[in-house]
Order: sequence, then C-alpha cells, then structure tokens
Amino acid sequence: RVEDNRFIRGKGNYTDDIVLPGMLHMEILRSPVAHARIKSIDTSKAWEIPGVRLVLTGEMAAQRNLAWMPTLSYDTQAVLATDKVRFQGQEIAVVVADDPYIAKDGCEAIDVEYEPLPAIVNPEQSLAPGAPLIRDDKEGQTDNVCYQWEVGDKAATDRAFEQADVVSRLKLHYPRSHPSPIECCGSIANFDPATQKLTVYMTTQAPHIIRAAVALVAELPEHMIRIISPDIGGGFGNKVPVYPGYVCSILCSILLGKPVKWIEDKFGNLISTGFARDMYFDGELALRADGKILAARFHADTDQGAFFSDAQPSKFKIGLVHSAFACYDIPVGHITARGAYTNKAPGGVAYRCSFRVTEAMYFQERMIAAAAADLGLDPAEFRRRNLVRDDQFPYRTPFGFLTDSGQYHKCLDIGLAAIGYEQFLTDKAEAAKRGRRLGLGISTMTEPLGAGNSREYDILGIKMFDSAELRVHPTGKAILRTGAKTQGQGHETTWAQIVAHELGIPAADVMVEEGDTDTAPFGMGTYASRSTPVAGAAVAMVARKIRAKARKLAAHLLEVSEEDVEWELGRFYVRSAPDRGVTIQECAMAAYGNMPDGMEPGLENNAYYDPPNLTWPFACYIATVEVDPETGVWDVLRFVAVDDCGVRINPMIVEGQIMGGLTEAYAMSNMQFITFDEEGNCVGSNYMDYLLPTAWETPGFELHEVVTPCPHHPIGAKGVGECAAVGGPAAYVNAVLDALSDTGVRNIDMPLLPDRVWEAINTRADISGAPPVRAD
Amino acid sequence: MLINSDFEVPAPVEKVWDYLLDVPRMAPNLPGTELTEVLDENSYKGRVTIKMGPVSMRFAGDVEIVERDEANHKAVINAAGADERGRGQAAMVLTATLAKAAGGTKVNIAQDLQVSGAAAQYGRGMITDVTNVLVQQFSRNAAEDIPRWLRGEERAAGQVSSASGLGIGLTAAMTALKRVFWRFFGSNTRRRAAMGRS
Repeated sequence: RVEDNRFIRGKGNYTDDIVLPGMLHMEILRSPVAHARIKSIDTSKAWEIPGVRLVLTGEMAAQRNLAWMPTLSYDTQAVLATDKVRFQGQEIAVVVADDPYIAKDGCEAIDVEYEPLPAIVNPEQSLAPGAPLIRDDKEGQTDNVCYQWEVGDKAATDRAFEQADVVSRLKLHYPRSHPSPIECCGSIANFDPATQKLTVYMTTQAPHIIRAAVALVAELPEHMIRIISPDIGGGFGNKVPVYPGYVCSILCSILLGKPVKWIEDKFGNLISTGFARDMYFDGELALRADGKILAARFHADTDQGAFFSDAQPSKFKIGLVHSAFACYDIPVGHITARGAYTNKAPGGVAYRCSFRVTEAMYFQERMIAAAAADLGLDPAEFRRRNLVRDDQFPYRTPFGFLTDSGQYHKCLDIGLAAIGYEQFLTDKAEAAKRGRRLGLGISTMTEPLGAGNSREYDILGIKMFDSAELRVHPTGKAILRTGAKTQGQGHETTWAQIVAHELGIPAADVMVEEGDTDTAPFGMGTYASRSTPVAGAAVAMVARKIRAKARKLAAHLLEVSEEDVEWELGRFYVRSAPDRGVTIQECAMAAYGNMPDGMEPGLENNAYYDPPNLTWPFACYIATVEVDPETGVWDVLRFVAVDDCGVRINPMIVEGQIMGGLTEAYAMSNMQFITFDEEGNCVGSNYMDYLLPTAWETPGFELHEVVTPCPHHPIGAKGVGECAAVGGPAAYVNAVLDALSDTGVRNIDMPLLPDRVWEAINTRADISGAPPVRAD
Repeated sequence: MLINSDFEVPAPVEKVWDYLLDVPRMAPNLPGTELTEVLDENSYKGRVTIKMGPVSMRFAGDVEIVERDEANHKAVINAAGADERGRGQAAMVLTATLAKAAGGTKVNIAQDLQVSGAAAQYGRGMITDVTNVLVQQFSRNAAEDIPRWLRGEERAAGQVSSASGLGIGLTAAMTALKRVFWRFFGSNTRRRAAMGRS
C-alpha cells in the first residue's frame, strides 16, 4: 500500500500533529454522574488561573443558540448541559488555555453542584411504568420511548406461525461496544476575524457532511467554511457524528479569534462518543418439520442513550435491522422495534457495519443455530435447505430489500470442505468420550453495503451519492480527488489501481487526495463499506469519461476517425494497423498542446455516482473451538472464512480487511463490552476494562474466496470492509454453544467471558449480560 | 451497593450508643476521614480521602444524624459529598443498630453506598471490593477504639490513616479473589440477581 510508506515511518500527519501559530488548547469538563439536575456552575476559580483564556458554559453557548444541536437522527443533543446531565461523561463546560494542562486544571477548578436523580441503565428499566423521565427538555415527551417502528406483514406472519410444526424462540442481548479507534477525536478550529473564514482540521470520516452541518448549526455561510480531515488513525464509525467537542472548539475560536485545538483523551472517547450495538432481541422462527423456514418475526429494543443521535442516513428509524434473514428464502416476516432513552452516552454508530446490520446478522445466525438444534437437524444442512438459490435472483426479501446476486450454497460448501466438516464431527464425538468439549459454529449471511440509493438514504436531505474528480496533467501523471475519506482502508492504493485499470496510467503516477472540502468534490464520506461501492464506482466512471475524450484526441493524432480507434490498456491504436498507436500519455500532452479544432483544452473531469441499489456481499464463516469445562476458557482451533465480495480490486487490501474484521468479531465475542453499574457508572471507559485483542490472543484465519460480480457496479465490486466484523461474532458464539449442546443452554450473551461460560456449564441456565439495576 | 457488617464490643449497649453518637470521636474510624466543622449535634462537615490505584479522590461533604431511636438503639446517618476536583460524588446511608450480646454489645452496620465518577469506573467493579475493605476497617477501628473511649483515653496514635497504600490494594485484591472462589464454589443465586435476571 502506498500510504504505508509514511505510516510505518511515523510520518503520518494526524490532527494532533498540526500546530498553528497562536494556537490555544481546549479541555472538556465532563459530568461524573449519570443523571442529575445542575443546581449551579461556579467558574470563578477557573477564570483566576493564569493562562486560562475562556471558560464556556452551556448558559453562554445558549446565548449563541448553541447549547443544543440537531442530531443526524432528527433529535436534539446537548452541546453543553444547561438543565440536567443525562449520562456520565456528558459535556458541561470547556476551558481554553495556553496549554492543555492549564486547561485541564481549569476544568478541575469549576465547581458544579448536582442534585442526583435516579439513573436508568437499560431499556427494561427505562420503559417500565413510572420510570423517571430522561428527556424532560422535549415538549410532549411523557415517557422514555425514543421511537417505535415496524416492518413486514403481521397478519400473514401470524398465520404462518399457526401452521408451523415447530416454533423456535431466542432472546439475546448484543452488548454495548465501542469502535475505539486508537486515535481519539479532535479538532483545530481556526476562525480568521480578518477574512471571516473558518478552517477546521478534524477527525472526521465525512468532511462535506460536517461542512453542511456546521453551516446549518453555526449559521455560517458554507463557502466560508473549510473542513480538512488529515490522516485518520482509525474510524470504524466513531468519527462520523458531530460531537460537542468539535462544536465547542469552533465556538471558542470564533469568540477568541484564535485557533483552538481540542484533542480528546481515551477516557473521553470511550465514555462519551458514539457507542455501538446495545440491542435486545426476542424472536421466533416458524418451522416445518422438514426444515423449511415458514416465517420470521422478532422484536428489538435498543438502548439509545440520552439522545437519539444514531449516525445513520436511512429513512428507517432502526437502520437496516430488517436486512436480517436476507440470505434465506423466507416467505413472510414481521419486525417491531423500539428505541429507549437511558442515562448512557448517546450516538449509536455503525461500528464497522451498515447501521444495525451487525446486530441483525448476529441475531439471525444465533436464531438459525437455535432452530436447527430445535429441529434436530444438522446446522449446515438446515442452512442448505433455506439459503436463497442462485436461480432465485433478483430476490425480494419479506422486509423489502432486493438482493441481486450470489452463490450462497457454493460458499457454504467451500467452507465446510475447508474445515473438514465430517471429520470434525467424528473428532468431536471422540473427544466428548474423554470429557473434552469441542464445538463448531457456522455463520452465513449477506449484508447490505454501500449506502445507499437516493430513494432511501440521505443525510440532512442530501442524497447518498459519491464523487470523483480526475485531472490528467500534460505528462500523463494525474491527481484524483474523491468525496470519500480513507481512515486506513487504503484508498490511495485502491483508487490509483482503478484509474490504472481504466486508463492504463501506472498506479504510481496517480496521486490520490481526499478530505479537504475546498478541493475535493462533494461526497458523503467513508463508512458502511461504501467507499468502493459508491466512490470507487465514481472513480471508474470519471476515468471512463477521461478515456472517451482521450479517444477523440487519439483519433486526431492518428488521423483516423474515432470509430477506427481501438483501446487496449494504456494505448489507442488503429484497428486496421495495430502497430500505429498513441499512448494515453501522448493523448494527455495533446490535450494541452495539440487538440483538434473546436475541442476544449485540458484532460480533466468529474463524476457523481448514485448507486441504483445496495450491494450484497455474502460470507460463510466457520469456527471450531474447544471449551475448557473446568475454567470456562475457550480457544479457537481453526477459523475458515469464505468471502464473496464481488470483484476484488486489490486482494491484499481485501484480505487485510477480512482479517481485521474477524479480529474485531473475536474481540466482541470474547472480551469486549462497555457496561454500566446500577448508578450509571460506565465500567469500560479505559483500556484496563475495555479490552482490545492483540496478536497474542487473536486466532489465525484461513481465507477463501468466491467471486460473483455485482450486477450494477461499474467494476462488479461489492465492498468488503465490514463483512467479517458483521458475520464473524455469530460463528464464534455458535461454536461455543455447540460445545455446550448437551447442557441445554440456548444463549450466553457476549462477550463469552470464562466466568459466564463456566456458570452456564454448571447451572445449565442461559446467561444474560444486561447491566444490573438497583433492586430497591 | 449494600454492605452489611457486624462486630462485638465488650461494653454495655448504652455506652456504645453514646459512643456512636459522638460523631467527632467516631468519624475517624473510617480511614481517610477528617471532621472539619461541627454545625450542631446532628450536623457536621468533613472530608474523606480515598486513593485507589490511578485515582485519588477527596470527597468533601455533609454528615447528618437523621434518626436517633434510643428505645431500639438504632441510628441513621446520612453522608453525602463530592470530590473537590469534580470527578465524582458519593452518598451513604449508614444504619447502626445495637443489640445486647453475651460479651457486651453486638453492633450491626448497614451501609447503602452510591458512588459515581472516576472511583467507580475502574477495574470492572473494584469499588465494591475497596468499599468492603473500608467497612471492615471501620468496624475494626471502632471495635478497638470503644474500649479506649470507655477508659477515657484518646484514640490510639496512628489509627487515623488515609485510605491508601498497599494495605487496601492487597486486601481488596484478596476480597476479589475470595469473591471469585466463592462464586465458583458457592451458590449462584447472588450473581444471577446481580446480573439483573429474575
């Protein structure tokens, strides 16, 4: 990867590396309590500290109409608390000082008087009658329900359930996790009082959306705002939302007329920025005795935290949770969903997935495993009987999605052959005789990627297209800019390869630049695995526009008509005389020095790509594990991954994405969760408690591939960044529960910590991971 | 968080009752406590310093005797405070009940403690273990101090310590270990209740 040259040398340029003349530093004072009324805020001692330049409270922000801001989910969110604090870690005030340490001292000198209120830590508690109202700021809000939503055909589904031979039921909780990029969030706002221009360097996955949001929220003219997203040390969805810290740094810079830098610490990142998951599922499958699934229905309660600020652009309140069961041929289904306000951090983000798809696929694959067990059917055979067949595409799911391509059975068969399925079953039975517990878990799923099409996806009313601008210089070198923003995905390598593939310009001759709203074409950013499906398509389209003009130039240079010119990679030639040709580089020079009469000079263009549909990659993940019954510790024996992400542009990058996703899936299933105690204290706001897997504990992965090109993408790619993190967790958990199949335990909530597994084995009861509530 | 502890002192119930309500004398039994102001016989101001690994917090707040049931020898004391650097809050309702016992008086201390902020955020529930240690030390200190008080002596020198250092860490670690073993070999009902299951 070309970008690795600077990263492995420590020469990346991150937000915190940027130093502007006269720059001041901002720190945030956060609430230590989860739910309390603010009785008073005394900032006088902070103002007395030498070097403190500004102490900004919610009251002061309110004077600029900035104490609250709109969220991407059409709710409001406090920038700085004025009335109440609603979660531990909520922003109360900021201090700007000559250095970050003085600013921190300033925060500690602020005296806030709280009147404690009961803390609510899960939806059951939140939605119970008489629960304290969290959002008393919202007119007409009388309970803690954030939204209700449903999809599907209830009547037909109920009828199908009446006809079922077996009804299989499963309840589970997908715990709250955090994308936890190594680089935390940060910004440097620089408002120049002389030019009235605002420049903001910030950690954002979507600079253009931020520019539009700043224009709308801060009521600044959009052309006077420049957002620059430098190198980003990981995003995983965490850097999509607009956080109070960004807004405060901008406001402080405007008030002071100086650059203001805010760099979040790890505690602040884990406790206050976009969490992921935290959903409670309760669902059923209607089954025929021969293993056919007749219908699916489930209810999902989501813990939204204090404000509904899910960073998701679909028109569906709960994101794409209804992509559940999309890879199975199920005639009817019905889903109900509800969001609950709680005293926890807001901002559900799509951590390495497309808006609640990880939760949907996890529930789906856990439900499929439970149903196979209830039927007494082999789980591989049960899947084989229900997966959508190749001849059924395009296939309309019961919840309205249109899947367009895939070879699901082939992927499953490759996976089973690779893991040695039959042999493993024999080994497992043999091991069981000696008291050892082996287990195998399968996860097969197709997930919607690449948000989105303009019918159903927008942010602030702006449709979810993406863009590319390509300028070919006279010597045939080029600069490509897109509206996406790489955070480690390797765009600089992949985009250059697409240009090379379309134009024959060597990839090394293409400079890729992203993240500066003053120079990049308008685009919606990088998340939801949308870079290749959307921006990557725009790159191919703009290269084709360039090629079309180059063809005219080639005809002119070769003195033949355009119809007589043929293309091979990097070169046009005369059809009747193949040795007479011109290179793309010669065409580029001609575009600036020898164009035909009437042709505009130059060789540059742009393309905006609005995808006609989502893309639907498919994956089959199979894990084998051994559980130690004495300690509850489980080890992964082997892990086989079969990914069909369509055409692979750079296989090394694709495999890197899959391994990264499987590692994160392992973390979720094995060790990682952000939980809360009954007082609403966030237990998991530091790396001592929120565990990241290292090379030491991460298992090895065996990767296989199937290629079914995407029928509507210009180069047949489907996107891959998230499949493994989405489909992976269920494979591990299914494997552990398979190893416990004789105990009758149906579910252990993630993460499958040794004590939970041990307790399940010894009590033969399901283990819930929901945060505890006060008993009194 | 509910914490219950019992201890016995070789003194009659009435005497222990008087000791219990002598707040300036009794308060330092909780490690790290200092009384800063006596407002009246029921209201006091004070500070508690707690050091836990990376976190050092000094809570300043009010102590109030809200119930004195002399007939049943039951007293209820409310304490509430905030860290002086704004990183947390703590509130406690302490119910002390005295009963006649063979060797003197049996003291039952029931504490309902609510801690929020930095102290509660580390170590996946470490605060419970640390609090248990503090309560054990409180009981032990009181058991030691009551006979001295009865004899009209001052509190033993060095007894008023801050809740810090290796001692608490080690004892808390032992408590954590014991809890783990207890969970493995004891009943599972408590844990299921703690996990919010019915």
